[in-house]
Amino acid sequence: MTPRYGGVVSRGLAVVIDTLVLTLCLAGTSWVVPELAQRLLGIPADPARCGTGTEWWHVRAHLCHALGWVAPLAALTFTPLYQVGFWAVTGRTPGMALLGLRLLRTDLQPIGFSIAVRRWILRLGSILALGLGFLPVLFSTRRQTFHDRLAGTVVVHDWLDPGALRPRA
Amino acid sequence: MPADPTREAPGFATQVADAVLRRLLESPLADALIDRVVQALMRSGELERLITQAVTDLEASPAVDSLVDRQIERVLEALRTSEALQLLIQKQAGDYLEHLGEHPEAVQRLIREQSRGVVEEFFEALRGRALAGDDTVDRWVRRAMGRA
Repeated sequence: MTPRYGGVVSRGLAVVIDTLVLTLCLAGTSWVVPELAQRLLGIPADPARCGTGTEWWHVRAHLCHALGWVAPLAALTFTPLYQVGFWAVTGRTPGMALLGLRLLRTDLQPIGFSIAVRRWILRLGSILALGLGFLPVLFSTRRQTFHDRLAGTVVVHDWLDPGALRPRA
Repeated sequence: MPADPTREAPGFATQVADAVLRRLLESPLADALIDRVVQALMRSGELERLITQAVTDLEASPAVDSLVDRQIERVLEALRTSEALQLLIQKQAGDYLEHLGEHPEAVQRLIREQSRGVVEEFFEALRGRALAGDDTVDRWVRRAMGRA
């Protein structure tokens, strides 16, 4: 059976949904962590009120300064964890699942963790190259992006014939 | 006292007549005859016209209208003022509410399934449109590239 490969519109919509989910997670974390720190440990959310203690036993002051790093750290770690984790475990991010898309190897087998990591790094390259790495999806017969081609992956619509693309035993 | 033969004769005659009539009615000939008569009546436009006319006359009759209205009003009034009915409704409603309170799973499942159905329908439509969008973009690109 020839699969239907995911094109610009469906993949774009999936990215939009994933971005929304990630933004909500990041916003939640950026709000929840300082709030918890303030309520449970009495650490002020405002860095200007952290205090000036620099000795190691001024734990609260150190934590208070560290709270400023929560949002950037979350942004740096959530995205790869979210994408690589979902790709490797389920073959699809929540956005892809809603659009009925699945990430598979070119032989239509599930991708493993190493391919997921490789694809994520290559995808970062595609983004850093001003998105040029995404352009091949328009010309490729299998609608592969630059990172798809290098990682040996394809994105397919698996909702049209559920079960047809399940892993072979 | 000896039996009077003049009193027994009509009984016997009636029995014979009954038997003959029964045999006649049970015979295939009688069946066929009745079938033909019924079919002829069914085919007859006159019979249908007469029935239609009678029904139409009844429908248009103010007397019938008034009679039906009076009857309905009487029944409704009786139902409205019926304490037994009020009690029955209250009891039934109470029973239903009590049953739902004790077993809310069915209602919850119904609501959940309906919500899920709506969401699934929405995403199915979204997927269909996205797939069509993919194909449309492909066609644009092929046209722009001068490929068939």
